[in-house]
Amino acid sequence: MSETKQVELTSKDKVSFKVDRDVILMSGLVKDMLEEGDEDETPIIPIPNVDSKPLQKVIEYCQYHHKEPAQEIEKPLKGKIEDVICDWDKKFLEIDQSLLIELIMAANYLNIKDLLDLTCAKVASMIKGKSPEQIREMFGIENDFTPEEEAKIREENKWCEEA
Amino acid sequence: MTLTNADTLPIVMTFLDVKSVILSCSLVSREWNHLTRLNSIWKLKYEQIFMESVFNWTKHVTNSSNDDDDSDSDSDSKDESSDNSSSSESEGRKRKKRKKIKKSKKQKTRKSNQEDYYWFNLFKKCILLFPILDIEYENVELLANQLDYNEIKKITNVQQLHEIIYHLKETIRNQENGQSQLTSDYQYKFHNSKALTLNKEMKANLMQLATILTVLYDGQSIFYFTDNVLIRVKKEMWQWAHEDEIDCFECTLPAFCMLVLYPKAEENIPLKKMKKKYHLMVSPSIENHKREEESDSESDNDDEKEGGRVLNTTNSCFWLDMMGYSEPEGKNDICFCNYFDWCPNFISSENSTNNSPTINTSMNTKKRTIQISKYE
Repeated sequence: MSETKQVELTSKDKVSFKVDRDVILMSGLVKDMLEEGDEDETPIIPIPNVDSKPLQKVIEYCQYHHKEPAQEIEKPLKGKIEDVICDWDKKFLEIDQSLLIELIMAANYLNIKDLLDLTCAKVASMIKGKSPEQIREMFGIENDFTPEEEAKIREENKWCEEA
Repeated sequence: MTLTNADTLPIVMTFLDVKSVILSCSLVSREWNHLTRLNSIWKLKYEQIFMESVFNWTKHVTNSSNDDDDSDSDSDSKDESSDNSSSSESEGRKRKKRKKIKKSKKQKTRKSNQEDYYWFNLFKKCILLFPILDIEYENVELLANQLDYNEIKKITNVQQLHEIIYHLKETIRNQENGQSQLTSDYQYKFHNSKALTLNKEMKANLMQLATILTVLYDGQSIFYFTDNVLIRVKKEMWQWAHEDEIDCFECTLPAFCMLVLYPKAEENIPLKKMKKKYHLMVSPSIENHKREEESDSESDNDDEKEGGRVLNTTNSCFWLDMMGYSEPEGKNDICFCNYFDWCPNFISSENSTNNSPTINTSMNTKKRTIQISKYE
């Protein structure tokens, strides 16, 4: 039995993860980097934009979905995200909000489309049905509109309210 | 770490429905407001809501926006053809001028395609064309009785009546502001916004759309972002039998509305055997209208008719004949006429003249009978 080739990923906080090459090829960024390098070596790939915690989650995701391809998530979501994803993904998404956002950034940086869709859909599911005030509170966003600007936008948005 | 990121936030928005993006997200902050209008979100939403890949509306909408320019070029060509004595030199100049205009038009289109909010603006522009009716039918009657009954009942022009039906919100607002005057001209003031300038053909198509929507929805609320219709091809016009169906196509309501407003796109409907001897039909709200249920017994259909549901729940309407729909009083049969005289009106027009259509309608929530004479 031939030995599986491995790749070493180094996170922003200098933690190393050894992962099967086939698994991490789900990342468009890593794939491009490996194609440029020498195949015989066990490459060390620095991931300077991602901390160890989200990187570990990314590897966990790739390890599972490397064998079980992710199903496409409907756009827009008609109901809750939990209704359209598999049990494994549901459990995978049981994380706190800051890690979820870090995971979105990691998936975007590493160019893993399925993971990016899953995490973005989760955020969309959290936003759905919320008022602007609730969204601001949820994500710690400051309201930088003047009352006049806000009133103007509400007026502009009437076309959507009535359709 | 913040979620406000030009790369990722638009992806989040693609998983949200139109109303959440516009009514919630755009009001979060200035940055979010900008990001909620980006092309990456609205190109997808435009495709989903208007079925752009099937119908290629962009071409039709762009062409209609250039009507003025086109008419200019038409007049140019007319001038050219009438002036047979013009020299070859001036013809060359004109050709050059036309080429230049064509080139600048292309550049203009390319430029607007690159604009950040291009798809959002196009989406909004198309939705703004559609008429709005979100008032209960019984309230329509109430409104007519309470507010402007005397004025409304004088109106015998079917098109104007449809205009009123689809401008109730505007009428109510005017009433609240102490103005009870109905719109007497054909300026379409949608959503309390700036009046849209529509050409003659577009006005006629819009009235046709208003009529079709009234027939399809039978007074029920319209939800443009979620409703679908089913377009069918049937072999025989007068046969209601399901076996007669040749092909059918599920279409979003906005795409269907666009089909009425831009009839040239009809050729793009992906249906088999689109020949003259086949007939297009449409039925509404297919989410509540499963095809399996259509094969219900005939007695169910009769019940529906007896209950006053004119049509739509089990059968489809003949699309092109919906403008000429009428139901003679005292008869259960549905008749189709070929002229534009159908109006699900809520008033009895007593002051009509001989040259105007006579509209006699009585209505309640359960049963509605309509009698309309020929509209000259």
